[in-house]
Amino acid sequence: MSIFDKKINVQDRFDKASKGKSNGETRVIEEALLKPNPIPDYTGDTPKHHSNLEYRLVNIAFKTDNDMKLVNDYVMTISESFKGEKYITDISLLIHIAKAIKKGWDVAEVLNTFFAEKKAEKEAING
Amino acid sequence: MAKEPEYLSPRISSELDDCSLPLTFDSYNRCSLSCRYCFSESFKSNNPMFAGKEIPLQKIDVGKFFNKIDGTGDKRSWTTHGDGARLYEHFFKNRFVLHWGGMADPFCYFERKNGIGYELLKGLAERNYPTLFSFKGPTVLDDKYLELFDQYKEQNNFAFQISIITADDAMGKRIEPGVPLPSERLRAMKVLSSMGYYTVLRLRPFIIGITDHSLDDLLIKAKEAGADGLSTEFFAMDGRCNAGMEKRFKEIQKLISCNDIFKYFRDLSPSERGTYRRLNRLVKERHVKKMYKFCLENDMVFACSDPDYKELSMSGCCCAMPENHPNPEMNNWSKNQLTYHLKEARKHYHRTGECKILEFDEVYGKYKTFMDDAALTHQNIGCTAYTYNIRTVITLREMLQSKWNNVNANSNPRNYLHGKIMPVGIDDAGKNLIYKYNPSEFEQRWADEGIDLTV
Repeated sequence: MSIFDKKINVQDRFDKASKGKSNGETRVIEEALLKPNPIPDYTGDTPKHHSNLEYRLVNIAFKTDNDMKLVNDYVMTISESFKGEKYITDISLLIHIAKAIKKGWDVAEVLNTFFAEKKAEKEAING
Repeated sequence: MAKEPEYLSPRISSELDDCSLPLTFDSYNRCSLSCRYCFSESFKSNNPMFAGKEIPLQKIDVGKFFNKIDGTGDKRSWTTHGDGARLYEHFFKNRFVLHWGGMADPFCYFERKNGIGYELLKGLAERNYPTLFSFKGPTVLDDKYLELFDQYKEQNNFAFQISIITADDAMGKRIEPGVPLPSERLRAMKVLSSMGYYTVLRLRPFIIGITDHSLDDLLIKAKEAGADGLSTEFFAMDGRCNAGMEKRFKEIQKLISCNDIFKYFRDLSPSERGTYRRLNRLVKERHVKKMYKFCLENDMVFACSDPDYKELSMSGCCCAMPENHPNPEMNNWSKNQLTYHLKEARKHYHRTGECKILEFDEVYGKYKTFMDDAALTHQNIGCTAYTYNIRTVITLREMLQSKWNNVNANSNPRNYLHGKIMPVGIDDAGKNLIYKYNPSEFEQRWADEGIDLTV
């Protein structure tokens, strides 16, 4: 059964009503007869996440303002959108640490290398 | 001396969901024509960067453009926001059809004065690069352009969409001031068709109250001018209306003899689509029927870019490029989009009586494409809904997926197509909604009248 069934013959009704009418009168008849039908609600199952990206989206809450400031000042920059949402763009440090731990490497050494690379990148950009 | 600002194009169309030609290009950032209904003007005038200011004219750098096409030169100089190399990898290397004339007119008066487009045309002709033009401007009929088209006509690597919304020259003057008259554009169509090029009547936007008054005449004249296809879309009203747009809409209000155009669009547009107001199917049916039947009877490709009646498209390209152009490279447009799959679902229903199921991976494809390259995401205006950290990692495919699965989003296929496909559950992996083709009452009625819906 089509969702549009209840409007059967509306075109015929419109044709009859608008025959020989002026442009302005036709607009009025359109408004009277040709209003849109609402779409029935969908009440079935929906995926838990709207996209694969949403699946990878993680919410982080710091316990205190100081903790947040500490992370922002020394580890990862926390930005704020004009709506006030806070977000971190560059999480490569976390990924480096995780990889290092997984491979059994010396995390301190990995961090030193990471920060040295970041510094070099910045210097290259700033000339 | 200050460097002249450079216009960065091509870009990826924001209409990715149902667009077969997502690689869209303009040679200038602005258009010299003054069509009262211009959607591009609406978008540009709402850009906060230009609030209250005259938008300066910017042009393409011809050398950089061909570096992108050829995949040559210093990669840093290919930049379209730094991603020229990616456009080469995903599109130009594969000789994907370039759509020229997305937000401006390739042959408007800026072109006559500046001639950038001619250099680009020459280069594209020399490379035999498949290109579809969309235009109204007069420069196309200037001698040197015609000589170029004539010189390369055997290649058949160009196709032309000529935009005309009325056959009435007097009405044309009022709704499209400063634009060549409809009769002059039909002449351009005739000239290009006579050279053997594929031409399309771009009947967009179809304005009810204007276009319908000379529709029969326009269809016949376009056919006589050699049109191979017709692409249509109905006028829509952007709810984000600023003072300049309000003035334009009020001029249209007068021309369509409406008491209150804002109320008219509000009352007759489905609310599910949000504030970009598109009239509903019932208002459009009689006009679509006339165009569809005409195309059927005259062996023209009917294509509908409008979300309503999109399923009636006879090609998966809603710009009315055929699916069997004699130059195979002209068929190199994307089928991974809704227009193609809706068209297939409609055909399937009228051939077998079965309502096709549409799955996300089937519609947008399983293989990696430009849609999976996060570096291109920023080209889609939809990305501005996300904070910067998300923009750096989200892909175009994930943006499409987000709309596909969120039944409350205005751009969700159920809402955008206003019930033409309806969600019926989720896939086995639990990741995506699945949709089913929803036959409309008109389809049965038309079929009973003998209109072939299997084409």
